[in-house]
Formats: sequence, structure tokens, C-alpha cells
Amino acid sequence: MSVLKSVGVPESAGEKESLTEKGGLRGQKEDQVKSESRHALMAAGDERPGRFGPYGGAYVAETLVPVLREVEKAYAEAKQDPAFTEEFGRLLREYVGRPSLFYAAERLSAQLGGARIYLKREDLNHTGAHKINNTLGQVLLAKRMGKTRVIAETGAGQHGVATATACALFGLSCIVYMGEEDIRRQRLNVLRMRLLGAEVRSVSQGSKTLKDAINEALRDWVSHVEDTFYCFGTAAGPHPFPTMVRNFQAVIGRETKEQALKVLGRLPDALVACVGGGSNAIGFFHPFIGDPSVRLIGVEAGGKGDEPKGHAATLGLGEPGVLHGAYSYLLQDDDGQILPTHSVSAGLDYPGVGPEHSYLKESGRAEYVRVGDEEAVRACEILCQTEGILPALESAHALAYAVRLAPELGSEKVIVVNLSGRGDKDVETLSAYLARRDSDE
Amino acid sequence: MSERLQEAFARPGRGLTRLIAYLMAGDPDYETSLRRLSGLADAGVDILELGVPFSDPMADGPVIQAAGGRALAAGMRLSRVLAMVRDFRRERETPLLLMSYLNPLLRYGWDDFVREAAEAGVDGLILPDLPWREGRVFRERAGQLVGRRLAFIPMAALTSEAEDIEALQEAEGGFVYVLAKNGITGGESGIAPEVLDFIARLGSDLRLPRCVGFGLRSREQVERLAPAVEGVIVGSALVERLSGLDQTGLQGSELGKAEEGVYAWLSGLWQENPQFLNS
Repeated sequence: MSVLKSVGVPESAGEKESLTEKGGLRGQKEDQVKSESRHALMAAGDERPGRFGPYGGAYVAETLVPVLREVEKAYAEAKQDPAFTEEFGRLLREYVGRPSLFYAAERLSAQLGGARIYLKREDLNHTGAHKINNTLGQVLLAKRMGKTRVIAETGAGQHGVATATACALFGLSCIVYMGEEDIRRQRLNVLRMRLLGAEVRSVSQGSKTLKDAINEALRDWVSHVEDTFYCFGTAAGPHPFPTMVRNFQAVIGRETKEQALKVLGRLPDALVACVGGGSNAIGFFHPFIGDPSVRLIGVEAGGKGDEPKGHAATLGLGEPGVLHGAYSYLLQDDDGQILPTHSVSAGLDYPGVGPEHSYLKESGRAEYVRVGDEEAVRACEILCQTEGILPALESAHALAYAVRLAPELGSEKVIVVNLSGRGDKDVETLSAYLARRDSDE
Repeated sequence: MSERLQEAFARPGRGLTRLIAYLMAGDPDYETSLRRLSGLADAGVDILELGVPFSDPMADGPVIQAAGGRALAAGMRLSRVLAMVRDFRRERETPLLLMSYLNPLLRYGWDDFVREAAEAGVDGLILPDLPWREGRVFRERAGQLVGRRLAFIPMAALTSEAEDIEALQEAEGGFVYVLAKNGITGGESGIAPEVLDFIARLGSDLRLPRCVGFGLRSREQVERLAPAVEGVIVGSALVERLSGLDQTGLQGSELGKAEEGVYAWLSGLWQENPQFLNS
């Protein structure tokens, strides 16, 4: 427990600096009593929907409470309406190109030895990532609710592209908030969004990345509640988003299960997916939660290492708190301020995580590990060279962990990696990274 | 509930209505914001609202975002905000509310925070990311620890529906914070007829005093609202003027004099016979 808690006199600025730095270190694990009493505040009581154990909830401005309730009701109705589910299913088949392939990465597996690796090819979806599964669902819902203006946040730009795509398809206006830093490193996706008719608004506050883009999108939403639908990009944020986004993404896990049973005649031994906010992972994992023989492994961005601000490993190195409307793990200092993050991949560069992942971590049902920038880039190169597939840097984190895990398991074991997106968008980042590495060597 | 806060509503306001003035704790530094807190109290402000800086203030517009950023850069943190309240309370009895996002309070520990805030002389809490119904367990726990010494200030929004307003019946003490617009702090809210209708409806549904905030910056707005409400809240417009002074590089007594000018501007917003309407 911090010594500051009981001190009445103000500390000097100098002392404060050093204590904050120390508190920011992953260490400072808080004492058990404090975290239990906080859990009790967050979990107990009635009228509090959208909980995964103590995690989740809707910690938003009062103005948004009725607005979220409207989304929740509309979604509950849509889910029961065959017209809605049939149209969504048809779009997934005919527009996205589902089911996505379940591919045996034989050369990669042979090179690594040990377990066989299969890839769930979400990178082959229209627009190049899993994000389209969710945006089609939400934009269909927006249309059903009579909303004419759709807003979204984006990190790597994949969710922005997928939202702009769905809006173009349904003729809705689309505004995408994107951090200045992400606009710089994901120029290709910015151009794609503009071609699709979306307005991309640059966010220069804070760390100028995904977290700040979400803040701005929430500010926009609360200012335009009448006509606007917020198409949230990951299975985080206030209720009902974590549940709704997970349900739209669960098609990944359902197909994987069906394909594994058909191809292998049994369930896989381990599923591996990258976790930023965690939507591809939760959609992949969810249909397997009741299958205890299947290990569920989430891979977070280890960045440059475990020092504060050097990574985005929220579950591995954070503590629970409230950000962007939900109670979940967060990267924060000991004053509760959100810490900057780092990852070579923009889509994982986020200090929060979806509440259901916090619950899966705490219940022990899923494992969360981390892979750093360098290991992810190497995995990217390995997949290019053995299979002729260029993965997104986000997905390369999941792949890197499978590369580490496969040789430790027997050849009868099967690992499925969710290859959540393709890497075209990352070519510039990769070439800059490789140039730096070459000059260092 | 806090006697100071109760008294503020028991007596008539010191102007056309009561004025609640917002400052960001620690902007631009501890000493300056403490001095301004006292200056506002001495200028006759009825209630003070002190902001706890947070890295991700999703309900705030650019002015208060920037103020929070400056406060954090200057080393402000929750423990020092509480110290500032203790320092303020040695000399002044003006009711004071803390406005804070939830995460710094959770990180500090809710129990410790509630006890220390009440002991420091905080009279109530405005929590923009804890909607009223999510907050029930928080209020119950605070009640067990400090009785009714801290008032929880509910917010009513133009989007609020009957069930949301009904839930506010549980509120004890303090007032209901009526949001003059759907949106974030700052800017300028037109006082539309539907805002006045909403305020009137709240008056018949709730027994609480009504104070209106978000986007208030002119005497004209205050004059329109005053007959319909028990108080008005001014935040961004005040913070903007004070931070403007900090950018001039004024120091010492010159800065003090310039601050007096800002308090005079504030008086012009709501006092009956303001001396400086256009300062």
C-alpha cells in the first residue's frame, strides 16, 4: 500500500514524481483486501446488467444511460428477429466470404516440429480482418434503429475501414476518430476510409492513439445522441458493447469448432489469439469456453519489455479499474491515471481490455501471455517465408506464441491460431522496423 | 448531510441565484489553485466545485481537458487534492464539492477516499462516470463509513427518461445537477424552451434544489435561468479566463490583481448589481 495514502501534508513535486514512477511499475500489486472491496462495489446490487463476475458495467455520463439502454433493447429485439439474423448471415456469406478457411500450415509446422498449427483465416475476409463481422452487425442494427450517422474509433484502421465499408453498403454517413500517431503509421487505411466515403478525424489529445480516439468518439456520441450510433470496435466499453461485439464475432469460434470436427474429427488442443481490446480473441474463444480440454491463450503486446509505457500487456501487468465505461484490467499508475502504452502494432496499443477477458483471466479459464515487438516481427517473417502469408502485426503476436508453443507439444497436438488480419497495412511499419534492425546489426 | 451544503440552499443566493464555481485542482500548481479557491470564496461564490485531474476525462471539453493535463504535469494527484481541501478548510467555510472520474478514487480505495474526503471537509461528490443507478452500492458503503456527511450529487440529462428521474428520488441533500445540453463541458448552451420545461418537470418530480451547468458563460443565460433554478454552475468559462492569465506571465501582485478582475467578471454573471459587467 502506498505510503501516500495516510499522509496529510502535500508532498513536494519531486517526491511525487519518483513515487509515481515507482507506482507505475507493474509491481505495486495492491493488497488483496483493497482489490476485494473494490470488486464488491463493482459487482453487487441489482439493476446492474452486463457483468462478467465483477467486470463490465456501464460507467458513463448520465446522458448516455438511456442511449445505451436503447441500443441494448434494439439489439435484444434484433437478435430474436429472423429477418435480422438472416440478413446478417447472408451478408457474412455473400459479402464477407464466410466461412473463412481453416488452413493447415504444414510447412510452418514441419519447420517448427511438435504440434501441428492450423490458421483460422480471418485475413481473407472482405476488408482483410475480422472487424467486418462486427461492423456489419452493428451497422445493420443502426439502420434498424433509424440512426443516420455512424461514428467509430480506430487504432490500426481496420475497424475504421470495416465501419466505413458497412456504412457505404447501407448508405449511412460515417465519421472515424483516429489518433494522430496512428494516422501516421497506418496511412494506407486512412486512404481506404476516405475512398469509402468516411470522414477521418484526427485526435491530438493524450497519447494520440486508440484510447484517445475512444474518448473523442464518446464525446461526439454524448453530443449527438439523437441521430448517432456509436459502432464500437472491440468487445470492451460500456454494456451492451462487450456482449454484442462478442456475439457478432463468435462466428469465428463456431466455424472453427465445426471445421476442426470435420477436418480433425476432434476439438483442437489450444486456441491462440492476440488481445488488444480483445474482440477477435473473445469471438474465437467463446464457443469453446465449455470445452475444458481446449486451452484458450490470449497474447498481449509485450512491446519493448515490462517497464511501464513500454508495452500494452493490460491483463499481464495491469490492475482493475474503470476506463471507457467498463470495469476491467487497466494499465495505470498508483494515482489511477492511465499509462501510455507501446506496441509495434497499432491495433494492440491500448491500455484497457474487454471485461470478459478480465473474467476469463481471473477464473483461470484462459491464459494470457505476452509477445514483444521483435518476436512478433520475426513471426511475421516466418509466416511469409514458410506459407506465403503476410499476417497483420497484431495477428503476428498470436502466431509468435504458437511458434514458441508448438515445439513444446507433441506432434499429435493441434494449435489453432486466429489469423485475425492481413498485413498489407503494416508494410511501411515493417520496412521501417527492419531498416532499423539492419542498421543496429 | 453536510450542514454547509444544507445552509447554502436554506439561505437565499447571493445574486440572481446561487453560483457554483468550478476550478481544476492543481492548475497551474498547488499554491495558485488554493489561492484561487479562497479568492472565489471571498468573492461570494455560494458553492465551490473542485476538479480532480484525470488522464482521460471523457465528459470534458477541451478547456477542462487541458486544465487537467496541466495539473497532472505539475504533480497533482488525489492525495494532494485532499490536502488542498484541508488547507482551504482551515480558513473558509464555503461548501465544497469534489468532481472526479471514478478510477482515481477506486485506485486510492473507496473506503479510504470517502473517510478522508469527509474528514478533510469535502461536502459532496460529483462523479460524471458513475451514473446514479450504478452508484447505489458506492453510496451505501459511503453511508456506512461517514453517515450523511458526503452528499452524492445526481445528474439529470435531457435524455433522462421517467425511470431515470424516478431513481433520483433516493438522493439526499445537495442538489440535482441539471445538464443544460447533451454533450461535454464548455462551449455555449442556448437555453432552449425544452431545457426550461425539463427544469420545471424536475421541480415537480423531485424535492431537490436544481442547479444547471454545462456551457454557461453569460449573464444573459443566467438571467434566463435564474427564476427557474436554485443555482447555476460555471466551469469552463472561468477556467479559460484564469488559464489565460497564466499564459500572460504575470506574477505576484500583478497576477493577484488580474485574478480580482476575473472574480469581478464572475460577479457580473450573477450578482444583482455587478460592478463590472464587461470587465
